[in-house]
Amino acid sequence: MGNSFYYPFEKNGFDYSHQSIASLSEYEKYEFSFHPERPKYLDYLSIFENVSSCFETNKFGNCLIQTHRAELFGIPVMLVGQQSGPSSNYKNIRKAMMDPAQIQKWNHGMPVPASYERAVKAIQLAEEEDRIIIIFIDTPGADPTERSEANGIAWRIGDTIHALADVKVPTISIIINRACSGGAIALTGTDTTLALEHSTYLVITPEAC
Amino acid sequence: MDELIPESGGVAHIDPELTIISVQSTLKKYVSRFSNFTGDNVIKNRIDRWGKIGQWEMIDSIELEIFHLPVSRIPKPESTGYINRHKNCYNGKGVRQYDPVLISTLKQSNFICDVCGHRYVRPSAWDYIDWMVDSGSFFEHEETKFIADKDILGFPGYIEKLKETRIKTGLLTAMITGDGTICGRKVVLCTTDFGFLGGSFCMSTGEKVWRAAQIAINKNVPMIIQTCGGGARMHEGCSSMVSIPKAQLAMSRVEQAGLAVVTLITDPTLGGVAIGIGSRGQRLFEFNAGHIGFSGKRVIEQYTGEKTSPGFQTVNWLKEFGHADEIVHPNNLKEKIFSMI
Repeated sequence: MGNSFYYPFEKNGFDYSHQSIASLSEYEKYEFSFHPERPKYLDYLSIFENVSSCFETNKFGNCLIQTHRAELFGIPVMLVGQQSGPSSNYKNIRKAMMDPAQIQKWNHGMPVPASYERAVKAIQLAEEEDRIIIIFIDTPGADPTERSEANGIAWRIGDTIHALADVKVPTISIIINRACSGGAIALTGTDTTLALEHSTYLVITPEAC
Repeated sequence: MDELIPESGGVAHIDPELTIISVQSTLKKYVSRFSNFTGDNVIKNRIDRWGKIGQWEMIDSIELEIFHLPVSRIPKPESTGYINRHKNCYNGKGVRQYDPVLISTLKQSNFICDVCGHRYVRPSAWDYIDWMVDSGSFFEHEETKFIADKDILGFPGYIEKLKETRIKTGLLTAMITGDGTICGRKVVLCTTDFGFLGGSFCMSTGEKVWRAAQIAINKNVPMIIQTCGGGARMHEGCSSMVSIPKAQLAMSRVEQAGLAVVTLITDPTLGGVAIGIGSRGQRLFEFNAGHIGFSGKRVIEQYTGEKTSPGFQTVNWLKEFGHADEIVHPNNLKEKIFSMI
């Protein structure tokens, strides 16, 4: 196995031009939007200065939405990012996929109630510290399990939307890979919404249909 | 989307550094633009922006008159006071039950079979109006009564479905808003009909909530919302979901004006409905309601490969986990809401 990941349609001299990408099927375009080697939230931290993590805990799901104080060209910001997996380096991803503890920890990129609780804390702190909020969206959807229901996932997503509706600092969201359904809508109610050219935005994951 | 950021050089996974730099320069632009905003400017800008979100059609009153009338789904009993038992009613021992059911018993349990838990009926938006405001006090808002769903995607069969559903429910859209009184106190009331495409949340609902909130603020009255729905309106694609933060912002505006917002959570309240309207206001949960949460039971069982617990997603189950403190029977709704406003 190589150090890079390729979808079947990427082999045979695929040239990554706009025309070639446009002529992919809808499902292939969707797959393209979460290619494992696309940069994830943590990869974007390099564009900020003075980055420091906040609200880190050992709680399950805490790694799925991460939060950082930072600055962008000297302007204070609060970063809230959905981290859909451990890495965008294919070798590291493969290693993690062989470790059951890692697989469990990353929960296929699906946030749980505790993940949204972390986001809400960061949004509230951003208002206190007068930081512009920048949100990175990348998720296949929120965790569809009985345990997450028992922990009130609908209401925790609702709290996140509420926090963003009321916060008295500007909010910016950017879809970097895929944004599926409520798990993403939690974080798209912002003053500006941006998206990467090849990202996707879905009502529901095809897998759930 | 306000802006689509090019993945310079082709695609993010081939040239990640270029994409990352592209993101940096776009973010710099927006952050600089926002860096001089005061708190008040932020809120004003947000209200301006979100108020414009969504698309809908307007129909005229002649078209509306064709189907617009109250439709109740509460079963009418025979003169004996009984209705037929639902099919496939099995007791705990697996023995099938056939005897007719007293309508008064069914009303007490709020239309849940007391043998097997089957739900007989989901009330219509008109039924909730009867339950929640004083008789004869409801007047639909002129500002919302002509708003209709728009087929923005050209979804096959959607227009026909809408036409059928309007006749079936007597409603133009899943949600209806109006003025009413509760024990004499003036309120704005919004109710939703499960019979209208599963009560699915859509752009017209987002706009109706937005306008109803403005009316509540203008008239200085509480806003009462009854939610129901299995999720977002698929026929609108992502646009239906995009209106969810808009509905929440509308409710925030009412609360920030110092007015009470009371939400009645009914069966079902899932997905986009639960994370939007269903998460806000002082919440009341309808007695014996079920199917309340985020993901549907089938999706969960399919994903986990395990059956869910008995009573999963019912109000009693939610109460155990601290998510449903106030459970109210329809008989007590007016009184309860009055005590909160």
